[in-house]
Amino acid sequence: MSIEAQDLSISLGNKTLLKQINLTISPNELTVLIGPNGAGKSTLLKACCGDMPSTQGQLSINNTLLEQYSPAELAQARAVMTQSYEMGFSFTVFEVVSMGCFAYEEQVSQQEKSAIILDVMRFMDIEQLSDQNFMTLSGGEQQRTQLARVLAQLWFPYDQEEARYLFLDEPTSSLDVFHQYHVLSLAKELTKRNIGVLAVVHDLSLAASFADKLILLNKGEVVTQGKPENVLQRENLANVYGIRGEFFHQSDRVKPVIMLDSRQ
Amino acid sequence: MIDSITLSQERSKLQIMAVPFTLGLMIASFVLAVGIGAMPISLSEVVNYISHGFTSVHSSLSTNVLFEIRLPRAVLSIAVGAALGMCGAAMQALFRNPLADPGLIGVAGGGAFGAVTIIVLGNAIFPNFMTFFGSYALPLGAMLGCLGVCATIYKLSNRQGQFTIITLLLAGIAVNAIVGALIGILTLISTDEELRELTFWTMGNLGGNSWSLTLPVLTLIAISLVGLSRLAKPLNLYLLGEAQAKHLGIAVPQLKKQVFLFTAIAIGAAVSISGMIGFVGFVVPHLVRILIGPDHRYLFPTSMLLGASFLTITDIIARVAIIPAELPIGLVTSALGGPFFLFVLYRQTARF
Repeated sequence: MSIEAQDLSISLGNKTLLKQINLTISPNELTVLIGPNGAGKSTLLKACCGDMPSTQGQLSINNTLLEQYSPAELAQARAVMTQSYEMGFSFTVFEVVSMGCFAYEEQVSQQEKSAIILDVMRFMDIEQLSDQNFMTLSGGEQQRTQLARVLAQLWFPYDQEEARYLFLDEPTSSLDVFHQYHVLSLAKELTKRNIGVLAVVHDLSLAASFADKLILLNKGEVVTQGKPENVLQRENLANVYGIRGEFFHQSDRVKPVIMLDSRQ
Repeated sequence: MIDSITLSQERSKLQIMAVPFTLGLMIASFVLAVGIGAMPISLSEVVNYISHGFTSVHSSLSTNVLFEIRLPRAVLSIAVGAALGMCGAAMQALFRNPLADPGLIGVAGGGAFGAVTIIVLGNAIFPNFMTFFGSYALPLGAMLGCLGVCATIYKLSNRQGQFTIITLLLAGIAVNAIVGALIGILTLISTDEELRELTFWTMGNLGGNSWSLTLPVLTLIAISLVGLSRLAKPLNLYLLGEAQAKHLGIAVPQLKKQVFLFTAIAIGAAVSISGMIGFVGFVVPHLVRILIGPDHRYLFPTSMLLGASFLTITDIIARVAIIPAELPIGLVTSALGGPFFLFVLYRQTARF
């Protein structure tokens, strides 16, 4: 069971956004998409979660073609955190988070539902904001609230045989360092529950620190994929990002980083 | 932690209180509407009348006034107010914008145009349609008008799932102008009798409708309000954004189609009998949202009941303000709602 993309291509008009992508997203793995602006990271993520139809090729989730899923079935198989969210109505944080339970609402009691909501709010460190108006929160607090809502969607049932997936499009963009690490460790923790995570992350050191697998995209094509130390090599960084630097991991006591040459 | 939960409970307390309270308000306003007027009817007469199963015990002037004039009018104001209040909330959800209102963005205007077209040109151009649908032809025409305008505005102001308030309101201005011009042209070519029938559309009026005209409208409004109330939960999720709602398991295109259809039916039916009554669909849901929050499971019934009470009370004012003449109710609601809209607009722009 996994998400499989075969020869996936997407074009808009005569602009090609993705060219013949082949990839596998496995449960129990944190896969991170990296690449420069406009490389097609968000497009690939949208294609995998069913937001963008492919022009060519096919995509299957757990051996079933994406087109064959109804929205309700898809909601049980995957959750998505988008890059931007608009909200013109004064829902409270609690109300926003509780919307994440929609897909399985009929299967749980009111107490179980409240327990799930409190659980994810505690995880995202927003329980003290529970009754605040979502629109008045700071950018980081809004992002954590939305993340809690997305997590709530996968919180039940805890152990499920069918693999599920979580898509995170730049989940750390508005977060401070503490919460960046917190979110990615949480994503990693979720992979132990038979959940596959696909995340777009800009910070290469952050990506290298948490990813089981990195996929490096450039101009709509997969440049290379694999373990962080193999993907983040000097020549790849130079070719794709135009920077000089390399992957550096001093010891098991610290996280790896990307060390940039002082002369660029 | 404990604080936040008790605060939450305060909002849910308000949410639970809201429906019984507005229901009581609606019943009170209904009784007032039946009793107050150029010819006062006492409460005991009304009770006596109702307790005899809505049949007149003895034919007198007061029972005639009650049955033929007051009751249909009160029932109609309840139904139209309910439709405007709830559909206002539904349109604001559909456009994810708290400033959308069926009158403001031209949907009611489209309904009026459809209705006027049926009155003036119906018998000449579509005689089969007229004979086939009978007394339903007028509400149907109004509905088609509503649906047409809804679809046009939706296409115009939707940019990849994002609605901008500017295009929404500008499209509304344009649609209202076009509809006004077309109604003007139809007015010019109408006969005297048709002219009498259509003039009240521009200002709104709840009076002078018999039971036979009122009942089809009541049926259509009831159907669509029941249909809309079943969409409350998905609409909450829809407010997160179209993509987000889809991620959570909602079939978004179907949801939008249903909201379109039900609001067009309800607004079309309301407009076809009462004319254009502005601002109710905007003021009522807005007030309710301030009090109990945007959750549609409570917002819908409360807006419906408060809309019904509001319109019924406004209609009483319209009837008694300048006895023996009457004010068009649309003028009263606009006089009350216009300043409120400006106030909300001011508060919204002041925030940025």
